[in-house]
Amino acid sequence: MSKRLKLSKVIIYSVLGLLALITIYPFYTTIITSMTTQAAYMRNPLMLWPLDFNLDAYEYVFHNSNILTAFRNSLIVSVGGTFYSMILTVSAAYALSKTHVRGTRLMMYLVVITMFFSGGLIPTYLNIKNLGLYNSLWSLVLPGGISTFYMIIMKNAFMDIPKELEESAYIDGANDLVILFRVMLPLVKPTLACIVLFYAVDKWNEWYAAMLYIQDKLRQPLMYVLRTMVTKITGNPQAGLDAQMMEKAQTVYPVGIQKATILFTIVPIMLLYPFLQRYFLKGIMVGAVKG
Amino acid sequence: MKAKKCWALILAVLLTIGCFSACADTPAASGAGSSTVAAGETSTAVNTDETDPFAETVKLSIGFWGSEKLGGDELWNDYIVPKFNVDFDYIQMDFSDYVEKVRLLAASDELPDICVSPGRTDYFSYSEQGLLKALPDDLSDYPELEAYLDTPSLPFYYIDGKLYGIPRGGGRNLNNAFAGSFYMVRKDWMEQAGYEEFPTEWEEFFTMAQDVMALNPDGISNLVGIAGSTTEILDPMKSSLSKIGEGFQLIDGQWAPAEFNKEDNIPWLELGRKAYQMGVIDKNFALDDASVAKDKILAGQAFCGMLYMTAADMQSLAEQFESANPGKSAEECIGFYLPPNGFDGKPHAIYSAVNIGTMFSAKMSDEQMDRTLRFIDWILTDEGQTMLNLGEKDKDYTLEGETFTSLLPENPATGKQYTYEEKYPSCIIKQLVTWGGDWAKVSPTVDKTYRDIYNDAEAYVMENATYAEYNYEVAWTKTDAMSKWNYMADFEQGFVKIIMGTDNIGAMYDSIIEDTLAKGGKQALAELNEVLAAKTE
Amino acid sequence: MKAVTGEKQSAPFRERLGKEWRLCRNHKWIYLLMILPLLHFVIFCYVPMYGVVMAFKDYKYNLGVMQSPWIGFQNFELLFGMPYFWKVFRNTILISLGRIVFEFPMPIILALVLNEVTNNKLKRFFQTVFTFPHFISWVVISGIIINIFGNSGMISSICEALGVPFGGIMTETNSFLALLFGSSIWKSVGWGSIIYLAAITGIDTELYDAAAVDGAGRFQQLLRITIPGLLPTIVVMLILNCGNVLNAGFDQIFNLYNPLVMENVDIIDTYVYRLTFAEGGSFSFSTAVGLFKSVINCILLVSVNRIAHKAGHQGIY
Repeated sequence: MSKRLKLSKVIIYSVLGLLALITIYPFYTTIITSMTTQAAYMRNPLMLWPLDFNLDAYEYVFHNSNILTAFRNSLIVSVGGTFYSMILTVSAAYALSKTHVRGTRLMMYLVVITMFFSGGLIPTYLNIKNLGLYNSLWSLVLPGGISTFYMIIMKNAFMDIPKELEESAYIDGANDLVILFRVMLPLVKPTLACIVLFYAVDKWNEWYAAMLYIQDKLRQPLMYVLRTMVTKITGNPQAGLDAQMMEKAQTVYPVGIQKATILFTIVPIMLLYPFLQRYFLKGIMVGAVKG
Repeated sequence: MKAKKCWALILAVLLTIGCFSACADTPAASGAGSSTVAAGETSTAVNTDETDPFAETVKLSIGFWGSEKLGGDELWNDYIVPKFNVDFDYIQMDFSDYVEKVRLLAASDELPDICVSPGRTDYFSYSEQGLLKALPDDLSDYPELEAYLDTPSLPFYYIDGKLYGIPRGGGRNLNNAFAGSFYMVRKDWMEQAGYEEFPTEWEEFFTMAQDVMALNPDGISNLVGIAGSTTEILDPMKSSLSKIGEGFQLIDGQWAPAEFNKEDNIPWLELGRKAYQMGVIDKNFALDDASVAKDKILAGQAFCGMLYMTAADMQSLAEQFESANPGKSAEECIGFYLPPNGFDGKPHAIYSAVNIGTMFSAKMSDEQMDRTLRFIDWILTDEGQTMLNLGEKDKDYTLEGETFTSLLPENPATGKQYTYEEKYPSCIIKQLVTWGGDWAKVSPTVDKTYRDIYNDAEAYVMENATYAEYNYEVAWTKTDAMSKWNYMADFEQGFVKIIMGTDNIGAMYDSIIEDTLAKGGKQALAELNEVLAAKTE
Repeated sequence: MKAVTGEKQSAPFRERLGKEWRLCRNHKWIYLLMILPLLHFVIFCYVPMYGVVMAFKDYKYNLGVMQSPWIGFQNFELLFGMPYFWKVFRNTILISLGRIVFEFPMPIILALVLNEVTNNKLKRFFQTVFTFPHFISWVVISGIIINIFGNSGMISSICEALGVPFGGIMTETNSFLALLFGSSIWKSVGWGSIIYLAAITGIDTELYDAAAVDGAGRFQQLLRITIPGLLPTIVVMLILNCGNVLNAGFDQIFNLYNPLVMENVDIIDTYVYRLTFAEGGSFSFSTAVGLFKSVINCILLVSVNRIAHKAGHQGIY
């Protein structure tokens, strides 16, 4: 038995290792090529070590005077937005999981409809404007308050909890709210952690809503600022490069900037991971072998 | 424990709300906010009219992809704004998203006073639906603008005799047939392969590329002969060797795009396929991005590639080459040459039609329109162009004969002198009217060598070319179907397939035409011909 | 709680109402919790929903959505009238089907495999690493893919060096599709496995212990405990995926496709994008296309959900 176990372990680890390599390699290449010159990149697009090492792309990104403000904005939107979305999503998911309560079925249909049908860009845009959210960071938080996708996952997580736990709480005289906090939430921690992660990442990466609704330079979130940086370098194709950029065109090139910005996407999330991973990655002891 | 959690919750909520309201109170950035002008400030003497047209302050909102660059430097705040006595409001948009933004602004009835146009169809829908203000009939107050607008294709944009926008041209002369397409070539390799002059015939050009690739002076693996994306590979052949640039032709008594003329197009496609099979055309061209030609040549991976460029671009490319290939001089290694001539031995030049670049909101008052047009007029003057490109004489630069010296201070970040665009980013406002291609031809900031190359090339083309005009009247005829679909969108794919393929060209061409007709082309062309027939009756 | 006698029918209305009210009041928190979410849906989803009618109107800027003239099904006629539309529609369905068959199981398998890793540190390491690709945009990834698989890319050079004929990977339909699914898997498998890992965490460890005591081997445990434990999550994800069929991944395809495979790889979104991009994009037309896709997606989701119900599963609603 133990020999067979060893073999399967070997297979598993080697498969995972190979997969990890395949996953890391392009990612690694991306980071490396963000630290090199355009010409070196053209010669060796898949280099393993930065030839002509320079950090000009990063310097360019940081020298943009708005970067810290944008970072702050993104932080606010992500934290506040995730918080807000979680409150809404968990409330809705829990309420809708009680299908025996009158009205929840109807409300569920109404919610599912919004998954498919929406008014389109113009009515949404006008709506946001009419609500006075234009040019406010709220426009990045409120409209995206609930993702029906995530809410459904949450709802089903609630529904998977055995009814007995709930019923015994009812018998003890608890009402629905108390049950939510005392019984349900602790039991769906893994899913909660997932959804928090999903929302956080979504809000951190959001740029489209910012493009539409944020007018003020000082309120733009990080992702949007980074995006515009890339186009600033590419410049107007017909006009030729911005003269300033022409000089640095070899080291600060569009593809390089795009890749440099990847670190901005990943690092914050990586900081979040340790806190959340422990919830959805419980180590399960399978089999008799312990320790 | 539960109480603690509750408090943590409440605290977090309060914190978040606090942050939000803090942001709501953040004042607008000094850069992007409206700049104020002291009411009584007079401009530097611009005109000597008795009634000063700039007496009253006028408000103008401007939606332009360089918006965020305006309002932050002396050029804007100390010269332009006082001179024209305008209180500007800037609508944020970027080159990557202005199309969508302008459409949304139009939909929410909030078009800025001065606004860049997303495209021809938008121009027509906005003007027909009353969103735009027409230019006054009498443009005598704006002589440069009047001269600028004197171009054959412009009347096409008139609606009931009124014009609702101004075109954005490559330069101040809209009647320009020279496209500015050059092949950037590794001159040193060319000479090593035994070619002193750049070929004027396509076959010779391909042979030369082949010779260079065989020689491979620098021993590059994966050397590319002619680099480029689909546009860069096909465009030079199309313009030299076919009539596609003309737009529409009468084919068998019916109007159809010039691409439908099989006999006319097969010769150059055969040439293209031959070149591809010779191996001189980048095998990846169907997959590559638009800027790849330049990138590969600069990196020393490719022999040549076509680019649209101005004299200033030439200089910058040369500089980039030197920084990417230390030890090599651009003078020796890089050459810019006109593409080979057509089958008749002459270059071809097309008088292309203009596109409306900037439009004006219907909510504008006449005074605002007047001020705007005076501003645009100024941009078109020599004085304006100098101010927007070089600055003030003896303050930003000196010019003694041909010697140009920049007086701009050193940029602490780079250790070098500021370039004009770095010091005064708001000079991008010149793109409101033109792209500035003509300025590069004469600008003292550009090395004479490159200006000469460009000007000589242009002179050669203008002298020797067979001319044609883009048949915009037919091409832009509005019909229902044609305004909904671009049925020609995929035609070029067919060319790519032919060049990279091995089947009978004639048969492949027939199937492309069939395809296009099936994709709505049939209906569109039928409608078009109906409309045109009705016109002539 | 049906009354055994026929009294229920003749119970006074007010009594029944009272009963309902008491039920509702017992569950008052349910309703209270729904206030904010419902408000959200009404304000941000239902209020702008009138825009859907734009699909049946000829949108004029100066008239706004409501006053613009009706054109009925003209937009749809235009859409369906193009023979190529049905080809593109077919492409979309086939690609989506391919995604469900090839891509959907992958995160599940990865979660199961990751679950077998007993060393916690390694487990966390692998899980973290596998999610990296999710954060790279398709624009960047397509650049890498072209550099590896393109006609003058790494593989082509290797083939040349080895003397193996290289026919073109990205320019042949079948290999392109393989690349499409493969790269999509690469990008999404790590991130997608998170939800399944979470679900596995929720499975009662006692079940495993009991099974071990009964002599079940690792694989048996996987089959009999883990997979059934995952089944509700899998079903939900599957249904949600089916509600996305006509979308088929615009970003990825748009960045990767090229003229030589376009015919078979064009999906509705890329096709419409190309054909309307130059012409200024009639808003009403794009609304019509969106509406068409939504209706089909909705029908698919409802059907799959119903099948799930019949099979005894939770479903989405």
